[in-house]
Amino acid sequence: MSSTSSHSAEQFNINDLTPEQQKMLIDIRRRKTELLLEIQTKGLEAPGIRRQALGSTRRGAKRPLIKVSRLAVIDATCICIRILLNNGTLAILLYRMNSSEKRTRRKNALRSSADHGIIGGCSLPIPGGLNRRRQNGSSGRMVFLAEEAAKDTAAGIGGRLSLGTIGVEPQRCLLLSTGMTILQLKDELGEVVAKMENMDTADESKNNTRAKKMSIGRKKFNMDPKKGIEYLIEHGLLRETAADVAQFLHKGEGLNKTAIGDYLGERHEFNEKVLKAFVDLHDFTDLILVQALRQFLWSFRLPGEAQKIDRMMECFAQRYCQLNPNIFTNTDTCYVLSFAIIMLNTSLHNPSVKEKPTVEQFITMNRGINNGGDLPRELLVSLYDSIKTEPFKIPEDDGNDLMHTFFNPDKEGWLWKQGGRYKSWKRRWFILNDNCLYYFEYTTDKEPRGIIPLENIRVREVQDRHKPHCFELHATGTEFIKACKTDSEGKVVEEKDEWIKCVRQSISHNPFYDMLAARKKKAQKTSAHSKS
Amino acid sequence: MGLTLSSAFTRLFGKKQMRILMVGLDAAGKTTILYKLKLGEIVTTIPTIGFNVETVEYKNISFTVWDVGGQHRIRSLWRHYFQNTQGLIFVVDSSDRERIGEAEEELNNMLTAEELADAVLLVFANKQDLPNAMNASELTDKLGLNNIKNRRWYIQAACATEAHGLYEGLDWLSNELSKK
Repeated sequence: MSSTSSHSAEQFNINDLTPEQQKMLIDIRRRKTELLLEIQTKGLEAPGIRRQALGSTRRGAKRPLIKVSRLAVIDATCICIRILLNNGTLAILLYRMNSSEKRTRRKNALRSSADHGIIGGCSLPIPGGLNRRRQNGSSGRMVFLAEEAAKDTAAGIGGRLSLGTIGVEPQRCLLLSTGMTILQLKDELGEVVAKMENMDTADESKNNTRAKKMSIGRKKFNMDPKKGIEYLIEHGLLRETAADVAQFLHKGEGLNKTAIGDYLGERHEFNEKVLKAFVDLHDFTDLILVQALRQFLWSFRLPGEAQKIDRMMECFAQRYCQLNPNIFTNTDTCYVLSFAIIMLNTSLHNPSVKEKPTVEQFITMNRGINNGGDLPRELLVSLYDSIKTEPFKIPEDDGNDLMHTFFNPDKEGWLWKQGGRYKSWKRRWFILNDNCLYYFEYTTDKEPRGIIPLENIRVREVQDRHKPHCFELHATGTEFIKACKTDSEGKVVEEKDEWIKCVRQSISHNPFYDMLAARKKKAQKTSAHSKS
Repeated sequence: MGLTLSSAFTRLFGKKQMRILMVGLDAAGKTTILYKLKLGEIVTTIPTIGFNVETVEYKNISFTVWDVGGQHRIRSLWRHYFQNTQGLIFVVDSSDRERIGEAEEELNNMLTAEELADAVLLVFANKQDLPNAMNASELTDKLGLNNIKNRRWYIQAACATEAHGLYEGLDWLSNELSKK
């Protein structure tokens, strides 16, 4: 921390900035206003990484999921932290210290207190590992950090938005790298800090974080694409522009390909715009038609409705002809031929179609589609052969839903669980998420051994001489679900409390079950009466 | 007993095949109808990329139903499939008063195709459960069914989500086919 920086911050004149930088600055200011508004209306949503990194530490040591790799000091009360997350992303946080914690304690303070307000931050995927060059910022500077962030940004991640942040985009850091806007930003951030100080951020649960909401949004999307997109837009995770939605679908992280296809196929003005933007994200340059189609049809599951296929092939053909202008005389020919290829794939490979067309029939079918003329016979023969030998593949989904549930848990760890039927204790890997406890035999298992839905149950401590640190999930009836924390290096008590706390937070109450139980009782009573 | 007899007949004479095209505007309910008809059968089909096509066995007839687009520019492609098509199912959303004109146009387009000259026409007046749905007689009027010449047609009120009316429609189709 003590080495001096080779970069210095300078005052800047806005007129010296390139138009692009000026635009960025305006964007930042706009974003700041949005941020303040957001803070006022919804309360601060601190990054998910914060809780993992810094939260839950008041009780003592907790295995950190991240590594603080760099610190830089902006001024006496503000520091920048560069954090390497366990999922391979880099997070940069602007961090405000309590007045009681002076710089001398900054790193330790960081780890021990959860009551700081994080001013802002962004996380970036690290392209090709960390830049190891040491360029620590001295007091009053945050240049090094910005430099590196800028490099990371420039190294190909472009405008990818932050994961789990309160909204400082990579551009902001990029801009910082010029060393010109620091003072200004500091002022602006100061305002945000002031607002934040008034808020109680200590008890924020992970449920409120952006990453969590993102994952909820994805799940919603997979069940009902329209509702999923609405949810993401509503919660500020996605902008309501065709380009942004298309980008989200094209990236397709955690999304079901059938759901993507359903959304793109919808006959609605906005959906059609998204479809257009989505197709434009594909690069078909120098691909022969059937290969381009194969690539295109891998990015989503083509719906089976003729009208939807029609709209999709129309967009596809436009894009293909735009990138390969010399192949077809006009877009229409390309569109009709693409449509014919989908028909051919259906006829040849759908078991419901009994009469399989021959190559001659395929050629006859395509007569006159080239502006009234015919396409070269060799082209049609090669298309036929390609589809016949290799049907279009059903696109694979990007990970199943469960994988995403387990990736970002509220809490995870080894616990001993007592069996339901045989009262033996088994060591299981537990994951708490989405109001459910999942347990696995091994940490690497993809499918859980069991799932305990935390609905209408309670959790309490159990005094058992042989099993210290034991807690119990119990239903209002007589059924018991027991679990016991594994012994590990003296942290167990805290962990037990932590588990109990987390489980308690995750328990949801559904009056339906109570109603059902009441009915059951009543029915049993009446049947008992009638018997007697 | 009746079942045994019919299966004996099947063995004797084999199943009749009937090729059906299903057309209709977007969101009229074609896909729902297709898969409702398929329901109850043990399906072991391998999923295929492409159009919805299903084979439905009913009353000793094997119906192969294709979901077909009516766009003019791709009409030439369907020609091959239109040939030897015995039946045309037109699905209309009875509650969509705005697009009924568009539906009529689409239907007339299909009926002018030479290849479909011999095909009988079954209209499913779908979504009867929705408020303000037009009934079969109103739709007969709006779709101009009474102006159809030289073709046997039938309109069946239906609610595909509940599978109401679907088999009644197939009954009519199979009767028509057995007459031929």
